[in-house]
Amino acid sequence: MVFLKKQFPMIIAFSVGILMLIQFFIPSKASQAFYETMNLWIPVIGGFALLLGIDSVVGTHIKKVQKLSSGYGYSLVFLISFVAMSVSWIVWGGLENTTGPFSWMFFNMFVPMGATMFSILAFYIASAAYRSFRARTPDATVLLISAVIVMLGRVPIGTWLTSSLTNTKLWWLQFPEVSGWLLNVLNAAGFRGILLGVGLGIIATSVRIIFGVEKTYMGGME
Amino acid sequence: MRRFFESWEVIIGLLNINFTLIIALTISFVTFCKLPFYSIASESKAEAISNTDSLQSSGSEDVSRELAEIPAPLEISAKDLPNDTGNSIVITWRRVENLPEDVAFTLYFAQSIEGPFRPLPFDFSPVRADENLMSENLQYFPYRRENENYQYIIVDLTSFPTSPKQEYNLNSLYFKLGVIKNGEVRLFDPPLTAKPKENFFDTSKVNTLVMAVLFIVLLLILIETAKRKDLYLRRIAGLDAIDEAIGRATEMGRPILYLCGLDPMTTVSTIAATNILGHVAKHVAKFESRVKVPCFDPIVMSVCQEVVREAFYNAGRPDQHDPNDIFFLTNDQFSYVAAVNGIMAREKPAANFYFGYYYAESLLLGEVGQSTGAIQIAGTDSNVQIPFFITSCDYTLIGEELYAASAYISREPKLLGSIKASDMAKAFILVVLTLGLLFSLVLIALKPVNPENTMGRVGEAMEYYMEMFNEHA
Repeated sequence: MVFLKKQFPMIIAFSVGILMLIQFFIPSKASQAFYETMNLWIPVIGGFALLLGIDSVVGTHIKKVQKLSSGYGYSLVFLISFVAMSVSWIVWGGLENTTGPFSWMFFNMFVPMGATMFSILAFYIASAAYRSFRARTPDATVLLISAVIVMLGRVPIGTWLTSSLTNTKLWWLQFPEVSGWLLNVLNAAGFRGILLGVGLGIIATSVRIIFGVEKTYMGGME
Repeated sequence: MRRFFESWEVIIGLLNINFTLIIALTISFVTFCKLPFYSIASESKAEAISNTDSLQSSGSEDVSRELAEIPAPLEISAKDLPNDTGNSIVITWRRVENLPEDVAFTLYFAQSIEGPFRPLPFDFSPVRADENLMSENLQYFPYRRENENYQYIIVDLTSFPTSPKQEYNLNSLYFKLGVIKNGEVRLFDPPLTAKPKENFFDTSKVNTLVMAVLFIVLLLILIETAKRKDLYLRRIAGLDAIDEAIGRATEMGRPILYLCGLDPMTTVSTIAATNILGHVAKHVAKFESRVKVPCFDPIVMSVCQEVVREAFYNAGRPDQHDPNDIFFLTNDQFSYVAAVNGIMAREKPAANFYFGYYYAESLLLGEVGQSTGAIQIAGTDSNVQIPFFITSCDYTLIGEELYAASAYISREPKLLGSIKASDMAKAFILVVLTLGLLFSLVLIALKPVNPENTMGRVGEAMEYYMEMFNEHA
């Protein structure tokens, strides 16, 4: 039992990890076929795992309704929606039936609700920007100044404000120029530094998993 | 006089009729020329003459003359495409100087050396004079300065249709390079052929292999070293605050919300998030608090369930573990955000942890969490979402800190060794970058001395060094 729970997953992680590592350097047909087969396994496993997910989400809400625990009304809404969408898909077909109830619910309820959530982002960006750009410290002041320059460099009014500098020796002080420099030099340098660290972190974590040094993801920390 | 006018009208009338007829005939002829069957006839006529250096003309003599004046490219050759599965060949030729902008290179094929040569039976974009330079494709061609003077076309033989009506013998295909302008083509001799070969090692990845092997060896050495020697690790405020956040949640009697991001279990950042969850859950069990893990992916949910259960068992508090606290919500981005925000608004968790990979929802989660007054700790390697987390969270782990977190919290020597290896690799990259910068500066400074071949072979070696660390895919 311990073998199946601890050693066996580690053997799989090690052998598949090493094979995928070797495969990366071999462009032959057999190697590509192996890569495609391994990638095919992901959606297959995902398909079965979705059943676990449905069991989890439906089970949680049924328990809430049964116990009439706080917020059980939301669970009731979920269960009704879940049954309505599933039944209409099974009986009248999915999105391919453009006049069916599933399509109607998808385009008139699901899509607008998703769009509503996404649109809230605009307001949160404004509130977050207000909080971060308050010039309380030298760092925040630098952030505020660069943010204003970048914003002005990206909108027509910024171009218009410094348009008189075109064809002069100070052309480089125009908002679009300064904004481009901030983004392509300072910002890009910082981004690349982060990316290098992330890349090394990914390799280090992968090696730890392949060689069985890191076992926390399997539940074992010893 | 009257007769004169009558006869004049007749002449004018006849002329009108003839003129109308001429116009009608011209329009019919032009329309006829544009019809597809005429094109086929024109093509087959062209095929008959395409055996030698030939011109496939459909009308304009000026264009034909212009194409005929273009010198034939030198060193045209066909060979197997290196570093591939064995399905493609590559046609290369020396660049033609002063090629007009509206003239491009094209490729025709035939099933025997005698022809007839036809256009490729799949979508193919002609190659202009400044496109497809061999020096720009380092996946298939090694870096050499002289490659700036060569162009290439890759022919994927699997692109040839395989329907029974159009069956091609892929082992005996012949190609001719040509120039094209306004639909007129001039083909160059000789006919080319090559057999694709399956490759068993991608030579363009040698640099990656060397670096990967060196890094893995260094990592294993440092893991062994860490078992015997204490290794220093700099303080990461965000990870130090985890205990504080769990303690606060315990005092307030509220749960902790832990999210593993939106990526599946195949992503290393999600694995890193589940690793941190193991340590967080262990602390939660010790403090007798409660951790809720709403998941975006069912596989991640299964892993999280196992990780949390084991953490509670290892902490000696199996009775405290509630399997219902780790649950699946949905795998639709904004439905997930709505559900998590609902949990935050209703249950008011004392601490929110966001680890893993996030997309546009990062700010929606962070801002709602902040409005509930929770202490928030985030860690992501999604560099575009880092600013949003920094804005809305109390502590943010940036990039690699996410991967170092598991080792930092556990203080396990074996894991600490791998962090040290990453740091040493970073120092090495710094040296590589500094050298690259120096080489660039030297090459720029000395370019005016000899613009064609700056610093000769040494300069070429410097450029090769810089290209070696470029992305070659």
